[in-house]
Amino acid sequence: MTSSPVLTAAGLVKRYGALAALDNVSLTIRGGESVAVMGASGSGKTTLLHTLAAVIAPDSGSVVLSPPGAEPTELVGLSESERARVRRTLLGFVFQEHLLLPELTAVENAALPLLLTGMRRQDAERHAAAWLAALGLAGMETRRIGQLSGGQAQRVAIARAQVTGAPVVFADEPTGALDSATSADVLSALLHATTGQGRTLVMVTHDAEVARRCTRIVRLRDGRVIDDTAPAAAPTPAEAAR
Amino acid sequence: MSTVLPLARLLSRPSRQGRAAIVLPAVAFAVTTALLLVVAGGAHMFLVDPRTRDADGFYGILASLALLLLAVPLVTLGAAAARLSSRRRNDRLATLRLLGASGREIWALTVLEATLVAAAGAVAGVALYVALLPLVGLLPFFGGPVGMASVAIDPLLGAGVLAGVVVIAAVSAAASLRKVTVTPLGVRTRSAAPPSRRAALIIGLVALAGVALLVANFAVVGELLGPAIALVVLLGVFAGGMALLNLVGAPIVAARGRAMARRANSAAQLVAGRELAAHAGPSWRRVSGMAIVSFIAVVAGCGLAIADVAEGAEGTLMADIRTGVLVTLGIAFVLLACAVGVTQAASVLEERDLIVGLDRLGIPDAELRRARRLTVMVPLRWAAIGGAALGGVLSFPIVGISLLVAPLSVATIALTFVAGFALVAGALASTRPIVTGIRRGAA
Repeated sequence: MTSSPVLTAAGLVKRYGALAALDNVSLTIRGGESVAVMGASGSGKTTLLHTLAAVIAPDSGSVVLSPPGAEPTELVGLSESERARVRRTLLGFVFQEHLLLPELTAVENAALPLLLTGMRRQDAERHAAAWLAALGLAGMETRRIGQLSGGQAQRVAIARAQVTGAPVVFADEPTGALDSATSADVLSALLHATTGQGRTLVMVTHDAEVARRCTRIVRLRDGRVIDDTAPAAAPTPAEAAR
Repeated sequence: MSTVLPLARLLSRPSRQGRAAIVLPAVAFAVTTALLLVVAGGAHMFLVDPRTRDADGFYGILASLALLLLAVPLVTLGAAAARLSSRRRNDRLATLRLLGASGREIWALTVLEATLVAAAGAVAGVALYVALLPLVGLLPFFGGPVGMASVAIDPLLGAGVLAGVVVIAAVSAAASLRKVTVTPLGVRTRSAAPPSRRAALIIGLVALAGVALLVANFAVVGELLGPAIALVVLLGVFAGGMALLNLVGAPIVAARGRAMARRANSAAQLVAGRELAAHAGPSWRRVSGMAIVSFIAVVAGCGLAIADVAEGAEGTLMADIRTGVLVTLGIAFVLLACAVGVTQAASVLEERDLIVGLDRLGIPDAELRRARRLTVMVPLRWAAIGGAALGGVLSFPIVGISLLVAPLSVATIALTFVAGFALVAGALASTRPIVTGIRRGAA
């Protein structure tokens, strides 16, 4: 059975001066998919990620977010504050540099998005602690970010991205700063937290090994999609998360 | 050195976020120079004007004291401006290191740049001073407007002030760079293990109690040492009191931050509380000028209370003290606001990546602003309370009940706090374009 689309992009164009970072890109991403976006530097993959994630607005085209059980939302044309609200409530983010607040503990970092929705501190931290435990960080809730390894910090970032139950998570080179063993562990955690729960993952990566564990690979060149296929032995979401 | 000048010229081209970061310290130095010229001109007048002869050099002592008080915020501002200058260049300085520039060349480049910004600001400050001079001439001293000619600064003294500002900026820049490491991978702040704050708090509070006891029994000290030495001792005691306040300030801020984080029910309170607990020292230093301001306000409140009841020639002297105190307070406020604005700008640039990341997460601009405001306003409140309390303790035995019964002193203190908080809030708001620039630049 094919699940319904959660993100539908059509005719995306984004220019920086004379350079076309996105040149008429159209893409449909379905619920539960893990999509690896690949391409050389300057091919437009980060611009595509930022456009799909309502970080930037394209010059033209459309991006419709259709979270399960909610009305579809056209992201293009929203004001800056409306886009911030969509990112806060419906989307999750994992960056290469985890960008956690060093002064906060692991559980406080993970609970931050829930506090921003107005949830009570106690409830937010309980929820965040459950996510940390699910990602193998039980007992480390009160540690500061500086007291965690790179892989552990990235798991906290994954918990932060998932704590609101965002139906779509965007990741920009989430394993780029990690060694290969830690990278494999973090990727498993990320897939488990997203597609393993029926959610969607869109990930920019240079790493072919990482891309191979996704259910779909989109390749860009000069701002255009040149290839959009499943890997040779595409895993099911459950297999990928293992 | 031969490579430093061409590099400095190349790097002087403004970047997107760099413009505000270069304008802020330049404006701060311009304001500082103009105000210093006003104070130096005034101090010179009090030292040489024949109308001050009847007061046995009292005018000169007070003017020198005002100059000393303003030196502290000036040095703080110089260090903050230098730090901002190096932070503005983070990426470029790291790239230069990567390309083979030596640590010494980077040091020279940053100090040179901070000095040039200070020099440009100082020159602009002279223009500002010339514009302010007619207003300064209207200040009432010796029973009427003092007149522009009396307060106009001697050109030689003015040149000395200008040179002093530039030298202080250069020295502050060099000193602040000792805490920063520029490596090919980036610019990092050297962090040492946090000092034992509890010990500092206990030592500081015990010493403060000792100072209060000394002041309470000052009549005995006066009899033992004679009036002239007793006055010097008194000034020393006040200065020591301020230093002790600075010693206990950081531990109090850390404790307040921890309590705030524990009870936080919003993201802004949690972030601000943890930030204050982790960086109590810098958070306190950023606003410690407020402790001086409120200390002066309370002590001055007592002076104004006396001026209210004094009559005749002594009444004129007291009225002049009142004017002098108000002018010093106003100048101290402006210096404090400049220092807060510049240090805030530096910290915004230091946290550039984090601000971009939080923006991507959809954290509302208002929430980030609230957290930033709390990290400044909470220590500011404690600095104000601490300075006022110390001023009250040290002045109470001297001026006695006048502090409590004279409504004018209470009004001065209240106005001081309102004006100080408003100015600092304004300085905080002035850094918003830098945050906006970072958020827009990242999009």
